[in-house]
Formats: sequence, C-alpha cells, structure tokens
Amino acid sequence: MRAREVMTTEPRTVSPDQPVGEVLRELGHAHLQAFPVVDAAGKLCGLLSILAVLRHVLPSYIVKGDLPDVRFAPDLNQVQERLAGLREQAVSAVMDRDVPSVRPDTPLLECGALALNEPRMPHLLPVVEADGRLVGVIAPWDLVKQISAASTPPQSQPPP
Amino acid sequence: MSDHSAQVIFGWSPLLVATAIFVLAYAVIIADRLNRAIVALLGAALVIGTGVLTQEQAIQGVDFNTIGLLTGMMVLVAITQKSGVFQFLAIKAAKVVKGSPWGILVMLSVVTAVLSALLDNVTTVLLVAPVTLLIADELRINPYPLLFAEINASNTGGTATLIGDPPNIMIGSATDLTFNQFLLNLAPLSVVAFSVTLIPLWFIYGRHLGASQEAKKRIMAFNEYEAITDFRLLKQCLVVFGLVILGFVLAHPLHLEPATIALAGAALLLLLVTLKVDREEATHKVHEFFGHVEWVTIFFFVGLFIIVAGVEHAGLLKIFAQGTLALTAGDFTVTALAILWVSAVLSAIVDNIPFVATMIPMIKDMLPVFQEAGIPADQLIGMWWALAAGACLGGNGSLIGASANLIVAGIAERNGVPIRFLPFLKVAFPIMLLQVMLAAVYVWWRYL
Repeated sequence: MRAREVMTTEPRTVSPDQPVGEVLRELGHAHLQAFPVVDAAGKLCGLLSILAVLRHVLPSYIVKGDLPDVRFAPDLNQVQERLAGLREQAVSAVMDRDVPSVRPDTPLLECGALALNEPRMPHLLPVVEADGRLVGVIAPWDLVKQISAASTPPQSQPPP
Repeated sequence: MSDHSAQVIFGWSPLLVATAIFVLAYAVIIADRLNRAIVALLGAALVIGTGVLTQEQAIQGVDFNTIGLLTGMMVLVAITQKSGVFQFLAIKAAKVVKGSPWGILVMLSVVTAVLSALLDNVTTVLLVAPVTLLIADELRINPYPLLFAEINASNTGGTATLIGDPPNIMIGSATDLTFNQFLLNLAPLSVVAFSVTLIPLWFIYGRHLGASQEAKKRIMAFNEYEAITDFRLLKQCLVVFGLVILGFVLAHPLHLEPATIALAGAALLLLLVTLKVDREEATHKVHEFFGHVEWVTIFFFVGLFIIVAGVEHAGLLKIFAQGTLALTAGDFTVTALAILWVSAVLSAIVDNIPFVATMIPMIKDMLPVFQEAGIPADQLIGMWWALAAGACLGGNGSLIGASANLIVAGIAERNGVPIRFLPFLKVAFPIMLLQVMLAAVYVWWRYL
C-alpha cells in the first residue's frame, strides 16, 4: 500500500502571507490541527499547526525545556498578549518549515514511522511530488483507518 | 626521580617533547575548536606514548581526589535538583523582597552565590537562570541585569569554599589545606567582594530597574511550595547534604579526603532513592543519575593532570618557578601579589582549570625557597589563597572566563536575551579588577 492510496487529495491549504488569526479561526471551524502552507505555485512551504502556535505563545524557556517545571507560577501574564500579537502576523512567521513529507509512492509503513519518529509529532504528513508540489495529505487517522480496514474481514465473518 | 623515567623516543630531550605537547595542547584548548576533553586525552596519550612519563608516573599524576570530589558532588546535585528545591529557593528569594526588581537582583545573586559555594557553578546557574527569565517576564523587566549579577555571584560565591570552584578543589587536593581553612580564609573575601560588587551593579543597572504594583503582585502570587516536586526526596537530599558538609568540616581530624566524603554521600543518597523501588527501576535511576555527571569535565581533568605531570617531570615547571622568582627578585609579597593578578587576568581570558593545574606544582617548587628565607608557614599559605582568589574571581572578567558564564549566555541567547562578548566585557572586566583589588588588599593585610 502506498501513500497515494490513502491520502486526502486537494486538501485545504493556506498561503504564507495570510494572517495567523484568520487561519486559527478556520482551523477551529474545521476542527483540524494543522493546515499545509503552499505558495502561489502550489509548492509546500511548511505546516501551520496548533502546536506551532502554542510554541510561539508560551515563553521560550518553557518550550525549550530550560524550565521543565512551572507548577509554582499561577499563570503568565504575557501569554494572552503574545497570542493577540501573533494573530496579526503572517503564517510564514509561525509555520514549521522543514516538516517531514512523503512522496505519493512512499510505502504506508514508512509514512507511519515518519509520523511517529518526528519529535514535533506533526498532525499531518504532506504528500509532495518530486518538484515540491503538494498533492495530498495523510493524517495519522488515515493510517489507522487503513489498518482497521485491513483487519476487518476476520471480525466481519457472519456468525455460524 | 628521573632514574625511573621511561626513555623518550628517538632519544629526544624529554623537556622539549613535554613542552611541545603542553604548548600544543594548551593552544588547541584555547582555540576552542575541538572538545577540550578530546584534546586533553590525546595530549595525555602523547605524553605516555612518547615516553615522557611511564604508565605508572602518568597514573600518579592524576589527582583522583579532585576527580572523586567532582564526580561525587555531581551525582549529589543530579539527585537533589529533582526535588525542586533550587526553584523553591529562587522564588522564595523573589518573594522575600516583595517583588522589588533590585531586591530580586540582590536576592537571586545571594542564592546563586551560596549555592555556588556548595555546589558546582554550572549546575547552580542552570537551575537559577531559567527561573530568572520567568521572574523577569512576570515583572516585565529586562532579565539581562539579573543574569549578569548571577554570573558574577556564581564565580564570587564559588571562591568561598574548597568545593565551590574547580581551582579550589584542585588546590585543596594538592595541599594539606582543609575545608575549614578555605572557609575561614576565602569566605570572608568572597562576602566582601560580593557585597562591594553590588555598588557598581546598583549604579549601572539597579537604579534603572522598576516594576508596577501589578507586576509585583504577580510575583507574590507564585507558590514556592508547589516547586517542591517530591518532599520525601527533598528530606533525603537535605539529610545527606548535611552529612556531607559535616563530613567536609570534620574531614581533617578524621583523616578523610573530601573525595571519599562526596562519593560516600553520593552512594548513600543513591541507596536512599532506590530503596523502595523495584530492581529494574533502581538500575534505571542509578544509570540516569550517573549520566548527569559531566564526563567531559572529568576526562578533561584526567588528561590535563597527565600533561601537566609531563612538564613537571621533565623540569619545565621548575624553570618557570625559577623564572618567576628571578622576576620578583625572590620577594614573597611581590610574588604572591603577582600570582594573584596574573591568575585573575589569565583566568578571565582562558580556562582557569589548566592554568591552576600548572600553577600548583610551580608554587610547590617555589615555597621551599621562601621557607628557607624565613617566611613563616602561616604567611606561606597566603600564596595559595592568592592563586585561588585570582583564578576564581578572574572568571568574572569576561564571558568566556568561566563555564558558568557561557552556560548563562547560552540559556539567555536561546530565549532572546543575547549576552554579547564586548558589552559584557565592558562592565564585567572593571568589576573583576575591583574584586581582585579587594583580594590584593585582603591577601596583603592578612598574609604578607
């Protein structure tokens, strides 16, 4: 089984120049975790995920693990302000670049391995052609659906 | 001594070969392109491989007391930091002064200095600096002045005790000086240097610091007790740390080396934290805590000791010692003050560990000369305090003067507060000169 057989084609994408606030609203409406970011030519530039937004909003010493435990601090006053500031910024300032991506003919097992071994745990695996054009996305859920579909036959046997 | 020497290859002069290895290794260490532990170990291998030292002489050159003390303290700290006690202290310090920014600068410096006197400086700043960033964020002030003060406090506090800073550990181990002697002779200087430093810090940074009432309230809303993640662990750590410090104080009458005490403490604490867990988890924990030991530093020391033993054995350090005495005309006061100033300025530019490792055998060569000249023993030890104070306080002189400085700079840089070499130097170097001036007066007044 290859990536092209499970990927969602023509996925919802955003452009690098869009304001983050707009994209956040759309993510919320669609109940999604991330959108692929593509340029005017349809080439993949990165991924804008909820986690990337959170990473930009929380203080860097917490995100980077310098201060692993902050139970003693009730809340941080600057987080809301930072989010407000972030909404005005362009997607390109917040998105993750260099995200792992696969080709249409990448085997599914490798797709699963990539999705799990990436420390930033992307919620989407973009599928791109050799020239960088985005042709589809695979969500971890797509992989699980595929596995469960493959394992359905024995379960669906009619009772004798 | 030289009759047991191994033969140097090709019949070359041992002095030339040892000196060449020494100069080459130090040049590569200063250039800082290769990891210093690799350089030191390769240098040590060359010292043995070329036959400057025999296998046995090389092993004898390694000061295992320094190695053991460092390793033991590193394990103790690795376990203790899990309890959250260091964050607790930092937050408590900020709340004691009711969130006032200058008060916080002073209190965080005090915490850093005291912890640095008892633990290694790098660990101390690794724990205090991130909390500082959080506090500065809540206060909405620039964290730079706080971080600057903490860097200074870590080196100044580290001067105070035998275990505070690697130079002191090395000096304590190479001489008969006890933990108590370090405390009685260097801690007063450390307190004075720390306090006086607050004056320029107030004029440069303190008087510009201000925070709103809401900001101060946010600091007061911190719950420092929440920072303690494990009360059982905390109790165990405090008991063992108490025993270890007591052990250092009593070490001399008990005829124990500090390394024995630190390693015994580490073993005891490891036993306590693995007592009630199953075997597999116990193994995992012990693995983890030993993993926190800074092996790069440990192996750097091992290699360095062998390189220095090489030049010592080949007679280079004797020549240095004679040269120094010729320069100072054999005057004890001049020699001691020269050692203080040269140590300080060099330690500001280069790693003070290799410098002190070289100075110790050199001073040991010089002391008998002064002894014969009739200088009493209680004055002679002033030479060691001059070396310790110079090497430790000198670390304050520049961003690369001590590892703790670089660690703070690294944390600050990652979090958007760049600490640049020259701006830091402009403030730090004059403050270091002020501190060394105080040290010079102190050493002169007490010992010369």
